[in-house]
Amino acid sequence: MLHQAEHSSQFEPGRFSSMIAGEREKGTSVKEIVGVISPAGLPLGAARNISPPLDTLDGKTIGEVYNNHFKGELMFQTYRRLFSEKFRGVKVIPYHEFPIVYVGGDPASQKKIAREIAAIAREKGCDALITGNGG
Amino acid sequence: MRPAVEAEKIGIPSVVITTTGFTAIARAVAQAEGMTGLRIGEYPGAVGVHPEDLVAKNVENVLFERIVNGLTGPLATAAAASPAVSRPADEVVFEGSFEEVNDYFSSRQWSDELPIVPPTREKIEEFLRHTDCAPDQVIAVLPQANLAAVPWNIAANAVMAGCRPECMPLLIAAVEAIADNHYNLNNIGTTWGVLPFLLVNGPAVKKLGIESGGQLISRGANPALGRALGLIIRNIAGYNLGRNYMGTFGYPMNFTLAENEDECPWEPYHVEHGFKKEDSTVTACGTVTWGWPPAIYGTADKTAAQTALEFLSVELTKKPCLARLAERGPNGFRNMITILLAPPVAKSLAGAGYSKQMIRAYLYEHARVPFRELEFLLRYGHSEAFTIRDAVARGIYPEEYLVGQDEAVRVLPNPEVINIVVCGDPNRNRVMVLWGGYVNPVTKKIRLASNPPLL
Repeated sequence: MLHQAEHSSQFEPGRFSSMIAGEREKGTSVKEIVGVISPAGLPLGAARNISPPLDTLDGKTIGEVYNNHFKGELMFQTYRRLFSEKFRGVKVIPYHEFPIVYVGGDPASQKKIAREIAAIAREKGCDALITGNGG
Repeated sequence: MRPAVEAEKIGIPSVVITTTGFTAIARAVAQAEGMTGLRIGEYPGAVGVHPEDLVAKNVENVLFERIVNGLTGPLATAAAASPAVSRPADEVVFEGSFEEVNDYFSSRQWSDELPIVPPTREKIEEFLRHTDCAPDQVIAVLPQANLAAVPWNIAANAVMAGCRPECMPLLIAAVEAIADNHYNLNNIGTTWGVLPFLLVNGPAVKKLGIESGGQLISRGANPALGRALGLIIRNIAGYNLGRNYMGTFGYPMNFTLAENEDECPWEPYHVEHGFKKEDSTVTACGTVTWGWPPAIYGTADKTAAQTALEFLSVELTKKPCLARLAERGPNGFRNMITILLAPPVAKSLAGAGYSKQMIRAYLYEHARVPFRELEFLLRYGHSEAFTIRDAVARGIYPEEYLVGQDEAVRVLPNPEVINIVVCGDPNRNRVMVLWGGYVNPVTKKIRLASNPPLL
């Protein structure tokens, strides 16, 4: 969609335009209008939405997936305590039963591990996963 | 967040735990993997500096509820799966004056906050005449946004950066290089501030006016090429500052190196990597560091070559993140070291009988730190739950790391992690070590147009 400086609601004159405001007032600026092409990448393919939520966590199996970062081992301990206090019959599959998700490797190896983890989660009967920690 | 995406694909609801400031990057990565509406549980604040009791309190009072809501609450986005909106690559998207174009591009985060040359159809078409590729041919799909790079948008970024049209084939090859999985563009958004840069070899260096001598990154065609790379990474790869490009202190300008092949006493970089000397190549590289270039002196008791090797061995232990540099194996951390040698130093080393491979072997053996230093870095610099012993068991660290606290251990994962480039002031005796985490070098041949316009 073409946007024009004078009419576009997506366009607010900013610091570059204000640089020449004084020149315009003095009548020394020549305003040549140019049309420009987007430098952005072109979208491909379609997106899909996440899976539906669970109705309750009572009686559910929750898998822990850890990348060994940002004190997740402290957090997972606390989740386990809170799950047992607040929900009936929650079973937790601890993170040491899954491969470690790691910052190393490349996109191919990272995707391979991610798929392995998803397959293990299914095999262990997980109804949900908690994965961390990011930051 | 990648395991969450894969789990969601097979119907297992998953919550990704982020910390404040990192939720956008989690969503961006998921979206690039084709998943919208990722469930996020955001921990409040910078967990790294929170003591254990505060972590537990924040989980109990804030985060846990977010996890439960994420798994059981209504979806955050009601958007159904929808095809991505595409558009013609050559569409005029804005009309205005030079300043208005700059403001518009700045407002869309399409610029690097410096004035850009407006990418008009006429200017872009000048670039397209320098390649045999069709203007809308998909050259590569670039992560993280997984958006397509075609000659139109590559040229648009090159125009904006101030490149000359004849640089178009080099930039197309550069896009192919950063798109290669081995380069690992998908993972450069880290808070470390990974800066991609280019290395050019072969006849293209002189033909395109690329500087390989003194002050090279600041002369000739080099700055504009570096800037074009940076703009391509923002605009086509989709790295936006503060959203998924998280360098804690920001980024210097991307830059371009070229090897001074006339002054290089060895095979140039591209020949080392399997290309012919008459080929022109561009190598996608990365660095987290710049900085001090030590001067090398030969003395009565030590040759300049020996001094250079000893200086470089020390420099290699000063700049990198050693705990990560030392990793190896298929799941180990990605690293590249680039050593810049001014021609007089390279000639001293070659004169003393050292090949590039012998230099690598020397440095691999002699770049060492005491074990306790590595342990300290891992424990306090990364807050890792696992020890060096655990990493050895997983094959990430070698068994030679099972030693006493004061024993010196090698920090390079292998000799090949070192890339040696002869460049810079031909009358100075300096060297510099660049370390790039998360990336590996990838070299691509520059394919010139079969019938380019006369220069």
